[in-house]
Amino acid sequence: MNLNKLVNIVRGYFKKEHLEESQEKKVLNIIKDLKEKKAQIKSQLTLLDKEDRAKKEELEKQLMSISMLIRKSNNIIKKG
Amino acid sequence: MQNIAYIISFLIFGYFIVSYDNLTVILAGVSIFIIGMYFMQDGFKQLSGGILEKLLQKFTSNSYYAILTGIISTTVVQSSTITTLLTISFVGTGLLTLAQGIGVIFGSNLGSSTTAWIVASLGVDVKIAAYAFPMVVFGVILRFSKSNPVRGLGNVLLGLGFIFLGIAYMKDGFEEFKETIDLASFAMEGYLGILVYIAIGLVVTVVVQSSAATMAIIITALNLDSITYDNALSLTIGANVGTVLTAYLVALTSNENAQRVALSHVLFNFITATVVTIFVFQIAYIIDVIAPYLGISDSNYGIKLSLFHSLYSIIGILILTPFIPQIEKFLNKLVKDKKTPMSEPKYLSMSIVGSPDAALVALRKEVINLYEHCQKAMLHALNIHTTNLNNETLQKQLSSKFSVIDTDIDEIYQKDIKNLYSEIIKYSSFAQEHMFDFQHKEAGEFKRSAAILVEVLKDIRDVQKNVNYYLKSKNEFIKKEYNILRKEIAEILIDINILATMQTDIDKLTQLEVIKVTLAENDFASSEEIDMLIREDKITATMATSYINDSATGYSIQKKLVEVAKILFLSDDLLKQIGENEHEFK
Repeated sequence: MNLNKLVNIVRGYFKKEHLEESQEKKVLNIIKDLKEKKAQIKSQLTLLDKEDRAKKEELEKQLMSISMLIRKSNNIIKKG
Repeated sequence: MQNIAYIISFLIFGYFIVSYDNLTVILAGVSIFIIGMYFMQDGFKQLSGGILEKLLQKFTSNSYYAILTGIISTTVVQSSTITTLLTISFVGTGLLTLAQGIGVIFGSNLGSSTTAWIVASLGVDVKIAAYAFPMVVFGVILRFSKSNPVRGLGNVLLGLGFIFLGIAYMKDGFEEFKETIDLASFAMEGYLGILVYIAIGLVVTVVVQSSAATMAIIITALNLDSITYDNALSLTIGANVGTVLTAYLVALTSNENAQRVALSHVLFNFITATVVTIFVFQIAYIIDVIAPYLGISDSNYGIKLSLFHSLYSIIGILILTPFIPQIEKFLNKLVKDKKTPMSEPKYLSMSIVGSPDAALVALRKEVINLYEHCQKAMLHALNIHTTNLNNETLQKQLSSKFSVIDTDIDEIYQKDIKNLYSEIIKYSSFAQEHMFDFQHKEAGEFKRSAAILVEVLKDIRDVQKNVNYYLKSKNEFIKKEYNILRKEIAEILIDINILATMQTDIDKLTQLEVIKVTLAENDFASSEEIDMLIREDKITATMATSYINDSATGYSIQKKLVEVAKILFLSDDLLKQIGENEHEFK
């Protein structure tokens, strides 16, 4: 077998299967963590005193930011 | 005068080399051995791809792990000096605590005896020169490879080849030398002999800068009966004490924590050497007793000496490990913290410039240090006090009566920032020489963030003039706008400080995104507000143009600060990628 062909097969395995999968897995883990954080903030929001507007705004801004991050993470997976 | 002394010493040395052929062969052997050590250490560093740094960072959670890490690291790189220097630098940059560093140093002393074992077991019975030449040839061939690990393997082979060749030369030299001058006739007995030979071992190690090379000389000479076993034991003690000098010389130019680690190395060797010297005959007796159980023949003095070398360190570890907390306290008292001038780098140690991972940590910390200096200067330029600054105290400062803090940004730049910035650029350029592509890129990012910080400082200087002018204005509307500008920049800095103290990557990533959302909101609100003020004729055209310019600069400052925060505080590349701007700042 041609040596270059062999090298390409090995390289291809690492690039396409192994490495990209691990990158995708990493992003999925990040999304999972972000979703957990989002759920935590949502429960904090429900327990929050309605008068505490500053805190409410802060938490809502965090929720918005997390949603953006989840969207950006999904885009990374889509782009591959 | 000093130069003349050097020339005379050099000439005397040269005379001896020319006069005694055999001495020349021994010295050539030592030199080749040392070159071999350099190649091998370099090779292990390339081959392991920073494994030593990773080991030191990850497996030092308690004293026992730290000792074990010290043993393994030194065995892997075959140099207690490298482990010691890295540990000194790691403690200096805050990667390891002092207690962890002390543990690693203790372990590295034991790890260094593996070289003695290799020399004693390979260098004597086998005709190693026969293996040396093929190793050198293959080593050179592999060094032509473009791949770093393969080049590393080439260096290891080349190093081993030179080490074997060096030992072979030393052996030949001693054999011939014995016929001219019998060194054994200079053997000295009793405690005087012990002290004299300890001093010789110490001096030789200081001169050749390698206890491994000294051990190779001792073992070779011992196996050829050029020195007695008792004197070899003393030389070994001297060789161990001699290693402390290199470490201490490096630490002298480093910070206080690094000096404390170096002193722990000194303390370990002096205490252990004292105990071992007092009980040297008893230890030699114990070796004689246990040697047969370990399969060591009675006449195999080389291996027995290696066992002594290991026992020396084991005794030191057993005696001193229980006292690591006390040693830490003592060293903290002995070396007091000094205040480093602002313009001097705190973390950039040249001793780790060749260790990519460690150099990157040092660089990151130094740029953070630069960031802190710039942050202080920026806030002062905006007339905001930095002590206990948080969102609440900021509100208080902004609502209280305005007072100017005398801040000359140009002077601060020249006096405190410029040198630190230049040192960061210089250091990263040196460090990048030893880095893989991804590390090279990261170092480049740190350089870029330092450059951005300097730009930000200059931007703030441009805004400062109008801030001071309009905050004294009688027009309440423009005053309010400039106060908002101050507030927004200060709030971004406070938010970045909060981000820096966050524990998890997800929290940091979220905080960075929150900052970006705030920034986008601020920009939108600001342009709306200024349009309204112009329409309603509440500010003059001059005020409006000044504010529009300063507001744009303010927005640019905040954007740059967010970029710096992303580089400095998000450690993972993937997180940085997720944290990239998509639409907000375009």
